[in-house]
Amino acid sequence: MSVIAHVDHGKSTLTDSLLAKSGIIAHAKAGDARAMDTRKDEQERGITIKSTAISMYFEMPEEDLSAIKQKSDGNGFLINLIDSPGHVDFSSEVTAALRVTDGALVVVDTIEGVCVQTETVLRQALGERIKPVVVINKVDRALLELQLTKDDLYNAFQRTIESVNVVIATYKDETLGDVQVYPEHGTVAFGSGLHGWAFTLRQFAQRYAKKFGVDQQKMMTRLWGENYFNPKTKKWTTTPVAGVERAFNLFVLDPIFRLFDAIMNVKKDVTETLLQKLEISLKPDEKELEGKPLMKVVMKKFLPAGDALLEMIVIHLPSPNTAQKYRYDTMYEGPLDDECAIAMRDCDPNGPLMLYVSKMVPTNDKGRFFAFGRVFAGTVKGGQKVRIQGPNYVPGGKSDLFLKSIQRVVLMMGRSVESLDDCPAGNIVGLVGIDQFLLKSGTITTSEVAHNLKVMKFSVSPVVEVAVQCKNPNDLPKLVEGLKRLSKSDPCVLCYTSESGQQIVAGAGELHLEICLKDLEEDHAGVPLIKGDPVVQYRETVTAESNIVCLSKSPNKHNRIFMKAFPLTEEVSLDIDSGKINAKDDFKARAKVLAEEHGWDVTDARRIWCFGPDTTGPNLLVDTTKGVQYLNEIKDSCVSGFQWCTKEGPMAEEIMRGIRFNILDVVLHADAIHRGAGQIMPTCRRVCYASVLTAEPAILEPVFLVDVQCPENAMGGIYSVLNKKRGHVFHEEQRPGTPLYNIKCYLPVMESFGFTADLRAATAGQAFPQMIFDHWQLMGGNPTQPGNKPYDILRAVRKRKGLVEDIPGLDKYYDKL
Amino acid sequence: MEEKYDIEESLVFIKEKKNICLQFPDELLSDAPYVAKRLQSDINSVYIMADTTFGPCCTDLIAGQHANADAIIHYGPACLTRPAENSPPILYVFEKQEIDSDDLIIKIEGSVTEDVPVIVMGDTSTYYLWPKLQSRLTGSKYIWSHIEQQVDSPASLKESIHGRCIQLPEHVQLQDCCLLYIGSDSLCLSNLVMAIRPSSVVVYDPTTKSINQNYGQLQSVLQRRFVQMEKARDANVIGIVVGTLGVASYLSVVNTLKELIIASGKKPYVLAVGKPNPAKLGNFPEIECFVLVACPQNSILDSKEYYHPIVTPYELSLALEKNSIWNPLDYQLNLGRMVDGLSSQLEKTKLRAIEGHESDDEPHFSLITGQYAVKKGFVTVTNENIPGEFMMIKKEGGQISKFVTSNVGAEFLSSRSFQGLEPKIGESEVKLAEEGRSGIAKNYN
Repeated sequence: MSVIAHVDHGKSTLTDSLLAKSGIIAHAKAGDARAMDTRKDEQERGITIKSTAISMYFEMPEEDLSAIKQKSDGNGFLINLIDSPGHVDFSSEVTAALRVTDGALVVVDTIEGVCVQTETVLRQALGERIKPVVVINKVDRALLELQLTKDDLYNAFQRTIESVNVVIATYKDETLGDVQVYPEHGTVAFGSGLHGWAFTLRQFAQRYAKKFGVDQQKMMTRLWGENYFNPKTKKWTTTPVAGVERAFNLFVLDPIFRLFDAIMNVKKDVTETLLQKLEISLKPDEKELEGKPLMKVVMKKFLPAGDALLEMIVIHLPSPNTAQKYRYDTMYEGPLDDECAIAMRDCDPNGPLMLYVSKMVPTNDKGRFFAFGRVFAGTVKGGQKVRIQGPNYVPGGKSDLFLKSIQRVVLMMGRSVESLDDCPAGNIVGLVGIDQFLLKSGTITTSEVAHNLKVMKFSVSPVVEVAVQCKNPNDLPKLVEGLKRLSKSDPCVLCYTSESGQQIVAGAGELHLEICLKDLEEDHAGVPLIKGDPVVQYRETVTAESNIVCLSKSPNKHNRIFMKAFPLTEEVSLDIDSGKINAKDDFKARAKVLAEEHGWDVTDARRIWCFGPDTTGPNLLVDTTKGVQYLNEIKDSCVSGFQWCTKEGPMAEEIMRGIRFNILDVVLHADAIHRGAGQIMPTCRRVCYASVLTAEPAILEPVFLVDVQCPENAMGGIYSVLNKKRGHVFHEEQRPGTPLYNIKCYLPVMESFGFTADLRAATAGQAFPQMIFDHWQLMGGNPTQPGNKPYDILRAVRKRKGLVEDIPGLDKYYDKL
Repeated sequence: MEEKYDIEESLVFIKEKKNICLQFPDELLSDAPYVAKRLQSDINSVYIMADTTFGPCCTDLIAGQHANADAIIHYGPACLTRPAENSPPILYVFEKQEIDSDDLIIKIEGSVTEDVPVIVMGDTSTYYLWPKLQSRLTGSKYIWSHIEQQVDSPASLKESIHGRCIQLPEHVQLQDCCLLYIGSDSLCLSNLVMAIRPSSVVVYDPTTKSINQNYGQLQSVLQRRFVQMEKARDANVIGIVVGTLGVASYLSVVNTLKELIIASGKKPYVLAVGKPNPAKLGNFPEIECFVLVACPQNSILDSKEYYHPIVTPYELSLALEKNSIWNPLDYQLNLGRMVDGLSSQLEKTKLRAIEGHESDDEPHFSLITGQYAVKKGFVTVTNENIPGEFMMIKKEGGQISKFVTSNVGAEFLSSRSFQGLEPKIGESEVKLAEEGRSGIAKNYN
């Protein structure tokens, strides 16, 4: 299972309680240790950066076993837990964690409620068919800081659960069934990670069921929602009656409120009696405590968080056996009836090995990594000879395939590892000795017919980049090696070299880049670096149909291509991005989608030659010619030319986006040798450029969705910073029951550098933004004419790339008839 | 005209030689008849060579051999590369650029103030002026370079830097000197800078009469070369483009490169396409990288018009070695000096292939894409499970079977959508073969 949530909602802190329960860390330290934050900077900054895995073994009391509705064997349970980062910049770590787990513990802050990242990770979890349970955390803050009444608190809980369920319902997966969470089913826990306590209604129901002698199941449903209990008449009602409290308030919150009240206001005698009533015994030295420390001790004993979480996890989260039955088909690329698919479905430890490596974890041995992944089928052993299939492996092919032996199998235990002889299906392991064959992820198998397990789809993309170079030119080899290690160690970061020879590191956001560069400088490369200013990538696009039919002639002047460019609607581009319209689809099916949903002409839609760049991008080359001889012969050359030009647009050699190129007519030389690739490829490229330049070209800039939560008095500061940075607010809402406001706005990525710091300064540190790449936005103004912003930007980009600053004119690409 | 083409010296040079070849670049071709007429005599026959196969800077030995040349006179700008061993005597006649020598001297004296040795070099078209300059720019710090315009036999050529000989005073290292270059910015200049690595560079451009003390081009040129080299690392199919037939050791470089590529598990093709251009090289879409073996001035093709990277032999040798280190100080364009390094690298690579290092089939991290690039291993297929060159793979769930081959050409063809004319056996009528069209393409209709 993974622990997922918005940043600062208390994942790592809550995880501590589970670790304490399993005896890995001391009970006293739970809540402060953040044992899953294994890096120094994670501890210092107080945020999680890398997801960390740990395997724990628990034994459940016999009486609870009956509550488990799936097949189980004995009362021992092994839980593989991954604590993930909450900051949006590290979402890719969450994705990598989700792939290898079956259940998710979603942590939500009582006060802040469901935030942008809660929604993002929950959506991803459901996309991977992962079952969620919820913990509402930081209840202590609601009590101590906000001094909420019982009813207010109930309402806050209710609202939070509702918003979680709204998200779950939105991204519902039929196969997974109803996975909404209900306190009365025991899929929601309430607690405080910091103070180490938490409870589910099941625990309270258990207590009261014994006391009142009623059915536990019945009691549970009564403890939530519109159920009221009149202690005098001992009657249950479902409508509020004056003077009668809600059952939840009466039975669950009341004891907690009374404890808080007694302890925080130092009412010693009341405390004493309460403790006796609740059968909590304190050690002599603990009795000396007062106020918060005492409360912590008492609450930890009264409602230990570990117990509540463990119970919820064991009872409600699926075992690999259960989960793989409905997960295997979404993960496997191959046919669902081959031996690998069947073994995965049955989670069969005797089947062929199927293991997905979702990320690389650095070892103590510098430059080497554990391949971290999940065994979906079969059993992995040290010394076993396996097939390592990289992301480009094609079944039956030889490329991106390696036959190697696994040196060792290890169990990931937070900051340490433990060696294993073997590990059966359903578990999360680290593999030693195969890191040099996989960059970030891949499939490991023993079956020759195995297809790949699907690659993960990340919710963030590397849109912010920075150029790095070493202070001392002789350190270049070290930098190169460092870049390699950096790209291995992070699922999302992209390291490459620009055309002009600069080393570029691209990340999801400023914080992500900052961490990556720090790692690169201090750890992976270990040499002093000079870092450039962060820059963003733009996209080149068109906003109208080409105003003339463009013509380019081949170098030998014997071949002509006539073309026009058209803008694609943003919906089509998005569908291509998401894979809904896919280059690999059957052309008829694809044409149907384009025709029905996007109003394309079916004949045109069937004649899409290719997508670009990289054969998958959101630009299309469409053949609209009629009766041209030899056209099929030049298709490959045109496609190469198109791939080439969509990667480097005509204005600033940025990637093109959202352009449809229609080949209107082609005149070819009758002799095959004069219409070879060398003649057609450059011509196709030139005519594409001419088409773009005549179709009111424009540039797109990336835009962040920013989510800020702040008190009312900080709002003015936020607005003034946003105004300065071309941001605009599209949603503003007060969180009911709190003085906090939620602001959602769009902010160009270019303007986001230093935004966090500015915001902090303008709001006296009360606002903390979360930024996630949202969409590409058209920048107003003609980039080919001086005197507007896109023009200046393009010139700056061209300068950076070492190109002539002037944008080449149309005459370079357009030939006269 | 007499002076422009050094007729006097030329007459002395061709004395008693029978077949004389005059090589003109395109822009001077109009003067060729005059020069030929002046050099023509009863005892010799004069041939004019134009439209050279490769760059006009190199002497076209092959064309000369066609005319059984006893001597070649090369006109116009020259790269002065050491010619192949079998070359006949060569006389270089340079153009003579007009230079305002007063302006030049004032500007140079004003800017070359440091007290370090100054190596004076220049464009070939400026050398005629040097005796005059030498007398006016006195001072022991100037070290004047010298070009041997008459090459009687390649063996007699002295050691030089791109054809320019200098005599360094004792205890002076090349690197400590300042380079003074007279001429406009050109490949020749960057090659010289690359070879000498002077502490500072001063360039006087006679056409604009400007002096430039901040010559910073080299860094960006080298950075772009680095990218090309990294691209070459990712390539599995490499085309060796023969860009010269006259430069010494070109043949051994081509052969060694070819063997080296094979030993590295990649596939070489050797291409002779004359002067390379995008359309010619574009006709080989299956080749992923080209290496151009040419004279130093034609080696670096820094153009965005090419789809695939074009590297120099030195860059390729780095790219083929797994842990090679890019050191701009070692950059080498001189083919002759590369031969030894290449052959020792070849030995090493062969040895490695025989020993079969565990790490050899590891993918490498491509700096271009940021992904792992996988070596395809076309030639060295030693897996025992594969019977012969071909392997049949039964495709999942069906009747379709697929050939997987280790043949580059076949593999590329199978990935294309157009795979040649359809045979349509039995569908089309059998006919007698008839004569097709012929002649030049333009005249087709």
